[in-house]
Amino acid sequence: MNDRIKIFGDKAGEIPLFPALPSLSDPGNIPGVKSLGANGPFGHLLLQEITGNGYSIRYHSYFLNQEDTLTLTCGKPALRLWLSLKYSFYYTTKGLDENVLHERGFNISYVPFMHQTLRLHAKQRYVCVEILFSIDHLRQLVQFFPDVEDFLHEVEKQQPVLLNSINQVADKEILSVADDILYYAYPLEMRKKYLDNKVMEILILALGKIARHPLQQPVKIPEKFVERIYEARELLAGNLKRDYTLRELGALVGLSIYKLKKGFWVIYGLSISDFLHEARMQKARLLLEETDQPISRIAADTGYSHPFAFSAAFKKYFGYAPSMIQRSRKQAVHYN
Amino acid sequence: MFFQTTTKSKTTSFFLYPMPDAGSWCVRSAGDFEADKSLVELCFVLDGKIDYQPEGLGGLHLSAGQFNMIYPSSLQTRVWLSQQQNNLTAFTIHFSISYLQKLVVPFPALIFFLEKAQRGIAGKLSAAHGIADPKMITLIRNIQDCPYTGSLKNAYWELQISTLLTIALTKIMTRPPRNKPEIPLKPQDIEKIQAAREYLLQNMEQPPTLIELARKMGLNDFKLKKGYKQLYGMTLFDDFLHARMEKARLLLLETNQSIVAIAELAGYRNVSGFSAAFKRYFGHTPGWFRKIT
Repeated sequence: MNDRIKIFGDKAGEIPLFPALPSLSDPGNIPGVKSLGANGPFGHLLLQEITGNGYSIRYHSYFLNQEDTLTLTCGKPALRLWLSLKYSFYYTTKGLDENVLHERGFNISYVPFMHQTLRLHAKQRYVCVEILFSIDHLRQLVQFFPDVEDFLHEVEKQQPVLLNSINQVADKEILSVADDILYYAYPLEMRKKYLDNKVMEILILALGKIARHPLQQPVKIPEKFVERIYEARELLAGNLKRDYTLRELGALVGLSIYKLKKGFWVIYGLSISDFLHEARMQKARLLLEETDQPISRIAADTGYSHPFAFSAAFKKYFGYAPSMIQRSRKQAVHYN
Repeated sequence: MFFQTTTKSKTTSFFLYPMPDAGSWCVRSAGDFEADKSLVELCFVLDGKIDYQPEGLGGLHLSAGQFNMIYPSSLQTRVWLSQQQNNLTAFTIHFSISYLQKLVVPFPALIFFLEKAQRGIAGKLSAAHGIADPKMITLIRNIQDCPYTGSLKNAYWELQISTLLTIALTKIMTRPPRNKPEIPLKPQDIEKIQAAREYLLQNMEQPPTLIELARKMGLNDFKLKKGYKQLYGMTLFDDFLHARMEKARLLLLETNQSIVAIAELAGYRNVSGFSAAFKRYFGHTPGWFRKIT
């Protein structure tokens, strides 16, 4: 990885980065991915990077023992898509903005020198991914997205610029491509081609989202409120078998039903029931991919009383039956 | 009936044909591309079964989840659907030979197939059909549900098709050898194998040998070895190695125990064996990591 990435904590002081051992659950536990990490009284963090043809994919994960503001600097220009996968990043980017990137929020920006501060709470896991791409990617995409032209001109002049001053919310498709990029599961020889395509795809999806259904109003909700929504998210996603009523859930996290609904809607762009359905489906997919549990058990564990109902819902959501994952796992060649 | 055809710069074109009617059905080329040239087809069956009879190739039976790449010697293809069946969805992408020739460097097995196709001889790329995985189905779904129009639609389709084709070729060409049939496993065998895994993970400090483990579980070692691979998709040794390395990694990062102690806890009798395995797995020795953290 770029040795010039430096991280400095207001309280923790300079955090020296060392080559790190990614755990089995981190993405990119495959050759060619560079990992840097730090571990200490401040907490721990991991940065992983894989570089390709004119792009570079960076995965960040942070866990702090006490609240702190980290300053990340890097001497290089950064034209990037930035997507939060877990928790809300309260950040400032030198030359650009002071804002918050909530879970699943994304933006596209350019800075000639990266200098960013992230204010992070204690005892929370933060995860985000950055896709740094080239001006050639942008030039290719301008023909499809004429609105990008002004942004491109600023980038060519090496001026800091945001494509859209309002942070957007990633949809299911964008998240699924981000997942494909981070958790690569095919032979190494074809990784280059695959990632080339996937990077272009995620850029098309992100620009398409901004061009077609941009969020017009920034998500403005108090920090305490956001934390409670994440508590509710944790309760919902962690207890899929249990059917919380909105009243119960609201009482548990200290929000009115109205605020609870509104919070999910503004952060995720989903109703609570859609969010729950998605959490069930994603959990089921994970269990199918990583365990050998029978479908009936997975159905029960994700809150379905009947496996048929589960299979039908799964197929509707993903386009393939749950048994397909099991079948393709049996056939899988172990590449890595 | 739903029949969609698109031409992309005379190189890629694809058809989409969910076919609702039972009986025989004939798929012909649409007039969009050069009719005197037949094209290579990458055919997926998504639902139901199909008996596909491309000219010059004989019968091809594909069932849900299977795919193959074929070259019919003419554009006349007969497709048989059984009378009972009311649900068949197939998805086919047509490629020109020249489009595929760009891929022979990463996929040399294409050379022979394409040479034959150029001479007009029908063929299929692989004797055994490939099995589609969920990511491939997602790509096909993306192509079907593409929200864009105009040139962006073509660019998006081309991207999805390129990814799908790369995965399909990789799958067809790196299939595990078929001469290794699965051994039948009874439910009690499966339980024993699962118990063996549990036991192994619980007793990492003093790992039994394969034979000892098999005996302990009341299985023979052949069944344990083969069955394990069948059940978990990796060999017992690989699985155990992953578990040991993960344990060693955690101990190294989170405790101050000596490397000698960690080696022992991970089930290595001597440190040098442990260090060597660790280095092979993570690229650096445990001592080096201890020093820098």
